[in-house]
Amino acid sequence: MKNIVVIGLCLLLGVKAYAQDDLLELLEEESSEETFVVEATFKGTRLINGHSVETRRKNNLDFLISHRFGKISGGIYEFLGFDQSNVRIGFDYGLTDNFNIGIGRNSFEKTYDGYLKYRILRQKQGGTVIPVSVTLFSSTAIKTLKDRVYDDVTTFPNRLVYTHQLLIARKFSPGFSFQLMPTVVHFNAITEDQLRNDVFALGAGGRIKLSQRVSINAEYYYNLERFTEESFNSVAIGFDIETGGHVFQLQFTNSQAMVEKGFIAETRDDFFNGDIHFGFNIARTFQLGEGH
Amino acid sequence: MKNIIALVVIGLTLQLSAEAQTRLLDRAGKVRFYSEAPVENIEATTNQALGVLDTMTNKVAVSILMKGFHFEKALMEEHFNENYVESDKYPKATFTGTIMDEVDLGQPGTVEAKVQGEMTIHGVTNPVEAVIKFVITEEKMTATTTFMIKVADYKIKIPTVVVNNIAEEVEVTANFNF
Repeated sequence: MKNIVVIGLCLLLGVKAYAQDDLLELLEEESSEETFVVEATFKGTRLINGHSVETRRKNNLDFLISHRFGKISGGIYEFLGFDQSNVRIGFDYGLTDNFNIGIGRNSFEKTYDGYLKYRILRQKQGGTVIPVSVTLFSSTAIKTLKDRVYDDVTTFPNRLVYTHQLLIARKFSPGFSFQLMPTVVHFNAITEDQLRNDVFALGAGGRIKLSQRVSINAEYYYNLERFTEESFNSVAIGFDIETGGHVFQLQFTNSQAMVEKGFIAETRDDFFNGDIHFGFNIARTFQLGEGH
Repeated sequence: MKNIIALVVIGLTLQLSAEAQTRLLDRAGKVRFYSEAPVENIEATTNQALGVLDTMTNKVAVSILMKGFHFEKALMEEHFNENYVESDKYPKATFTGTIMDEVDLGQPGTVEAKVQGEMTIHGVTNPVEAVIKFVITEEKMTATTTFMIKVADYKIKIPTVVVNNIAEEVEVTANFNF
């Protein structure tokens, strides 16, 4: 009989504990297995010079203005490079959330460029984990600067240069993201002083957030073999500043060109010799139609 | 002897399941918030809010995934999660409360009741009071509420550059079907 009392008490206590169970805990169990896409690995579609894994969403149009000034090592005579300036004006557009197209013109060597960018994989957390985001990037550039020696003999296809990149990034924490960029640049035609048609490069870069709206970024492209004897690897350090619909990027880099083939393969200045260009990118996003 | 144990066990089990049935759950609650500011109005909705109502104790609880909120503009959604509510750090907003008025939620009809409780957003907890309107029919019960919350109460900072884009107080509307 005593046993029954004990069992009864145990069960009653059990019931009591159940009744006191927090309603929130009940909800917690309901919601545990959700999967989330990791958003905003980088603030902009550009890391500094090159592209980040980010794409603009469907029907979003980005208007981009970028400047690179002359060399800081030009000193006061060149007003730290501000006497010279080259500009790229471009538009990026989201055909879908994962597929972007873009066009632009860089005053440096009067270069036109167009690109396609497609997200293959998005980093996910929660129920299903995908550790990295992967974006495929492919651009075509054409230099239209008149050239006394080659203009008569060069055909349109000969002027084309292609850049293909695999952008692989991971947002390790809200404050730290890292990206790797295996790249190949293909020149359809080269001159005597250019050593090869295909330049293979491995890029690496990342960002560290300094505050909610400011981050410090770095980007480096290592060329496995040089394009010319005078080529240097592209180095860039910059800040992202975000204010609502704008992203401002300020940077110091040894690259003057703002088209992929230009800064990856054709950088001619030595960062560590002080041949650094100050520059900025400004991106303004417009939403043209229905989002997702 | 065995019979008595069996009876006790059965009795308690029944009591347990009876109690469990007083908890009504909605996995697809609708929550909307609306901010009206000089430059733009911002509206976000989610259909993934979890709500539970215990008709025996008159306690309610709500849990909302911040990433479940969808905005008209993609960038608004990114900024909401990244800059304002920091949903990586604070993934959920929660509410727990008790219905203060004496109401019979078993009776079909429309009834309004005051609820008092605590709301946690962005890791900050504040007391909240609201009026819930219950519409009860034989088959189901609908609970609706609208109230205002101050963004600053939850330590969500609005930088001066966007002060004309985001209101200091936002209107929250929630709708659950049990």
